[in-house]
Amino acid sequence: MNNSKDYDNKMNEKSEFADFSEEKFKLILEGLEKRISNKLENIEKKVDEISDQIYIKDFSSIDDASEKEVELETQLRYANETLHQYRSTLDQVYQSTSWKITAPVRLLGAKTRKLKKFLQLFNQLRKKHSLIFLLKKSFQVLSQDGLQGFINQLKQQNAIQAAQSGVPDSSSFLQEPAFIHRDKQGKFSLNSTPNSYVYIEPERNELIDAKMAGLKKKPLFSIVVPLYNTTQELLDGVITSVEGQWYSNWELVLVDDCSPDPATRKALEKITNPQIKIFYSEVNQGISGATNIGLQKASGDFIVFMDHDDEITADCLYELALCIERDDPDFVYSDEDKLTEDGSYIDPHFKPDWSPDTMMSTMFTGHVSCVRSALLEKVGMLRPEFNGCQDWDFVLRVSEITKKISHIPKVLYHWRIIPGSTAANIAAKSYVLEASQNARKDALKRRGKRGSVEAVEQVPGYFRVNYHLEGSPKFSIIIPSRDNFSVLRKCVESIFDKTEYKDYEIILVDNGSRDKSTLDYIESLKGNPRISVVSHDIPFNYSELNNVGVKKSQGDILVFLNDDVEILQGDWLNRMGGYAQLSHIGAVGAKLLYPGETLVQHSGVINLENGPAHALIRCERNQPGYYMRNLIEYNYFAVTGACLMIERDKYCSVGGFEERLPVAYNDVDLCAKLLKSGFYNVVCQGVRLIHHESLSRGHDAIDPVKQNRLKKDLRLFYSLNPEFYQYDPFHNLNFQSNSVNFALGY
Amino acid sequence: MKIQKSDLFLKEIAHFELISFDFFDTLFFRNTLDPEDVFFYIGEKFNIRNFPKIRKEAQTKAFQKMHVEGKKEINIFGIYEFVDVDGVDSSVLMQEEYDFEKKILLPNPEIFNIFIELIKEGKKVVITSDMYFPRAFFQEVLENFGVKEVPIFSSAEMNATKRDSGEIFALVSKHMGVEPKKILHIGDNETADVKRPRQKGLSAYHYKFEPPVAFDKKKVSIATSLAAGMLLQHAGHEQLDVSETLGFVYGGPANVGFLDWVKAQAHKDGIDKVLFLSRDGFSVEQIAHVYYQEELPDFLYFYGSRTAFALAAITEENFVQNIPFLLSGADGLNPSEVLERIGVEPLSAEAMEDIGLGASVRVNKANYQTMYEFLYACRWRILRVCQRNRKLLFRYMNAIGVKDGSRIAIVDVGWSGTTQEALEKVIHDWFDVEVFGYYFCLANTPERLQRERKLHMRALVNAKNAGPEKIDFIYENRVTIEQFFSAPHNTVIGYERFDNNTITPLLDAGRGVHDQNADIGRNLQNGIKHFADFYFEFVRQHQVRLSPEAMAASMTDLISSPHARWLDKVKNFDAWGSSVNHQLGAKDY
Repeated sequence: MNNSKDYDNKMNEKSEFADFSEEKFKLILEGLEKRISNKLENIEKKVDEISDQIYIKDFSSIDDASEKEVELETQLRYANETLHQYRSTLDQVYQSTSWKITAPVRLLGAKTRKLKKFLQLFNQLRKKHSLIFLLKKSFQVLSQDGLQGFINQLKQQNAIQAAQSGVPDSSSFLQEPAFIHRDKQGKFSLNSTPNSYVYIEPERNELIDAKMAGLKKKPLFSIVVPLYNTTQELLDGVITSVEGQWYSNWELVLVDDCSPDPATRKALEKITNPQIKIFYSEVNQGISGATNIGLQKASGDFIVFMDHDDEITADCLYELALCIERDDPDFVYSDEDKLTEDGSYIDPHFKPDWSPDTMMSTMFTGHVSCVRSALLEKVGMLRPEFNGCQDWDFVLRVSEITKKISHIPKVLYHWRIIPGSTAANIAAKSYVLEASQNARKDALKRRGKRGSVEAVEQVPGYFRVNYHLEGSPKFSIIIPSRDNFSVLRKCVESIFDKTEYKDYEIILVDNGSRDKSTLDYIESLKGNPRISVVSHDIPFNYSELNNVGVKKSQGDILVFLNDDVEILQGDWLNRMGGYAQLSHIGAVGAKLLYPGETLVQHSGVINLENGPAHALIRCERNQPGYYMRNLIEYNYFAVTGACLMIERDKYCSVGGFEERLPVAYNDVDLCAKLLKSGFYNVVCQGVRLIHHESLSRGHDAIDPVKQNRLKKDLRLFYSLNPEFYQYDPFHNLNFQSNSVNFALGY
Repeated sequence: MKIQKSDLFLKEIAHFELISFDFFDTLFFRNTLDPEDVFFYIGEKFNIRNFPKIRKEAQTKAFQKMHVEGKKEINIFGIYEFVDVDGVDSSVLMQEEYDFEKKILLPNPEIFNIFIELIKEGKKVVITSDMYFPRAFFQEVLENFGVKEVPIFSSAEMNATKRDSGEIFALVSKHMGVEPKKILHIGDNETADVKRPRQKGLSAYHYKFEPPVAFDKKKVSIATSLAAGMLLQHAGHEQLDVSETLGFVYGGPANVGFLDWVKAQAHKDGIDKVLFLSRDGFSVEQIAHVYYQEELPDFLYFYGSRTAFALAAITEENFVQNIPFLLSGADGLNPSEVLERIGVEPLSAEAMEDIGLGASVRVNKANYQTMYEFLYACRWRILRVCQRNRKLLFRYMNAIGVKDGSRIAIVDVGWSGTTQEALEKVIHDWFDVEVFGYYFCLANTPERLQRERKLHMRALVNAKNAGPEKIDFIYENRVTIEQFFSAPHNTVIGYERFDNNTITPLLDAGRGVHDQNADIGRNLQNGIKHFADFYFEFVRQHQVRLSPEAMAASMTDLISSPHARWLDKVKNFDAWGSSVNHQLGAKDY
């Protein structure tokens, strides 16, 4: 027993030593942190420089579809990609700071490691057994097996302890962060240079085989590939990637679209695999016509669309089969990346789950694209008049027939970039641009919606839909305010000055203003027939103030507006209202800029690991962002309550703002409730407003009281919406879990 | 001759005119391995702690008196003349023993069916038994099973025994008017039922029930004896294999006892939700599900594990600090297995080869640095799994109704509270709850003691009631013991999905695991379940039950017996440390 006490005393001494060291480390850590932040500042400066270089050009004056524009767009696209890579790298560096900060701890550990070695095994055993037991056991072994036996037993125990719980001494490892790289030859390596994306083929194992064997549905996939002057090499790429599928129930349907190049037919004639069906078109029908032949000949339960120069990953059909088993979808799409001429995988597109409005902005579903064969009867075939965007047109039509659309957040498709291919340049051909607009115009027509397809000024080749207001709805703009005279006046006056649509009212909810200038201003507004002032003098509760405002309002469409928002454009109500009136839309947000109008304050709310956050915050306003997220209309998890538009009926159907969330997350909660009711939220990038919020804000992080309140509110938010804890259907789990810039988690 | 089919046996005995049956352990089985356990139960019922001793001494005295009086057998009345207990009339105790014995007897179908068949055929049958009970006892028991008017030769009544000289067989022959050679006696005791009747000119058949596992009544606790006795009764109905038998005899009492203890603790601690943790809370929950639906607070079998909870707590911020956990117990594993065991899809074999961590590499101290770098480089892949676990665990907790103010008990077999600690690391981020860990046994380790200072941890078998040596002994055999509580499904390492209000756990079969692990697990469970059925019927009938501590002793019985070796067949039971490269048995942990 005495021995045991001695041991415990030693343990205490050890921990005291540890405490003392921590104190010492603090100083070292502070120094390190300073050095790291200096380094980061330099990198940030570099990123800003690059971004200035890229967006200095004004593309709005260039004619649509001109060759020059195509060239510029290509350059822009690559430049944007480079910028994104830099941003991802920066995020990686940020990531590694936590790791670097622990460096001194690791260094000290290395020095003391040798000293610890002798005690290590004993301590491990001591953790698991009592001292008496250990002594007895030792004595037993010694008397039975002698000294050598005892040593052998110790060695064996050492091995077993290591195999079970021998936590390696973390302090001596990882002097540098590590990243996996893949060189041009496809060779992998570990090194400390940050990188943002590397594609690594998945490995088939027993678990995967078991999952495959356990599938109740084993659908036949028909992979349909139209061919035109396809080279032997490209064809081999297609066939090898299909033959390499883990999931075996497939047929490959190749349709030669009357290729003039005899090499294509020659290559096809060499194929012997009975799972590959080859068809020859008598005449050249173009991509839609050739694909349609394949669709007609396909006998599979599901069609997988594939281009003749692309490759699917080995787990592609396996993942599709799992998804079909799980969700029973009619249409499935996955993430994808691009395969360069030199064999590198770049520019992955990690997509959101089904987003109807994003689909009207960009052909985001892309590849791999898989549709239930039976659906073709209702949807019809590909339409040649949309060639170039025939797949986009197809998906738009599919989404009108079914809601069962699934997304697999995993790269299952490599889109090869070769000169002249659309992967390199969405605007490579003018007919493509036309088709992209026509596909959407036709969708509007089919859907009975009025709207126009407008060019996105910053990036040629992109268009947004501007939905026109239906009827003449009345808007109620609800502004809670307290003692905020100067910004409030700016807000109200900008509404009056700018707003073109005239049927609106302003409900000013005064939260007990005391300040004379504010009170005078409110008094002065009272004569204005468009303004109703509601006094509600309660401890600040944003939700309650807004809910009270709604009760006093009469409009069909509600606009919740912070008193520090300034209207910049006349058509803001029309544009946002057009979206708000769509039956599938819940909340509509706008792009909010910081004062100075160059940096983004709000471009959508994403629900990250640490909680909801503003996407692309402080990003330059004209930067495209990840896959144009900063410039075109995307569906988002939520929009900020600083400017949130919603139809009254929809607001009522979800019970308005949650008053148990008085300060934070009430807007996000409203949006979450809308999502749960089946609505989509959207950020209308076509509307830009100023949010007079301080750029240097961050007091919540400093004030512990506020911080605690935020934490409590966040907890309540997730307890009200557990389905959205650690989950944002409009984000993608392949991004870094707390990155507002869509930095890749690779 | 071994009785396999009663038809065949009937044919073979057709030429005998009279068939004599031994009663105890032939025609009927008691539900205790040791007949003297009955004294223990009576003592429990009347709260007479030393009753077994009193009763045994009384029997000795009765024998002494018998010899003095020149008699050849004792009877129950003679025994109870020497039972003197304060406050309880000895006739009351005698009646209790009489009634108790009657109730714990069940026909052994193997012999009983033949017995009935012979009666139906009109064959002469008798009961011949050495026992201190009167004829009426046997009549009453037989009548309970629909048998009337069978001649009964009880030694107590006849003043003649089988065991001493076989005198009673002569009386059977005489009273029944059948020549000895035309009589066949069937019984289990080699002397009394085989040797003696043959000496008296009868034919004898040595019936011996041979369970797949034999138990020594002198080496087991009261709980194991009860279970082994019940097993004999059960065996007549359904043949159990070795794993089922071990589950029945050893696992059954331990699980039921543990559950009884959990029930009492839960009431004491004001628990409103009991989570029987996978996998080691499985069999206890199964029993609770059938028998304690009303008596326990809201409860469920909860999918979770140290791995699942620990992963759920790993975030971008604390990833580096958690690398040692990810690498713990990885020595000897293939580098890819370090990812597989946490549910991260492995990278291509080519990539692993290129970075120097191919299939031929084993994790060891020499390559920790590369492993650290590798895990760091894979952090986003790993974090995705962690985030999924966190997301689904939160939803799962919400769905089962955990909320602020909840008092939750987690039930696990043992040993140091690591799983509880891992759970508490995440759960307090979400809810203001009190968590209590209920364990079968807590180990005698500083690790456990340290945790106990911060966490509410309680154990059925603890240093106070078992002493440190016993705890060490149990802990040393923990992997064997765990198998008696564990679910017949693979280890939970995380969560796959949550839909329709149902969680789908992510299971890990482990690497280098044989299919027989699952079979053994299933059969152990089956045995445990059967025991519970018998035990709760026993409790209902006799209104007496063993204390949780007494029931728990069956586990000590197991690990002290050679039967524990049977579980050595199970390899790589712990998925975390399992590998295609090694085979760890129960003793290796």
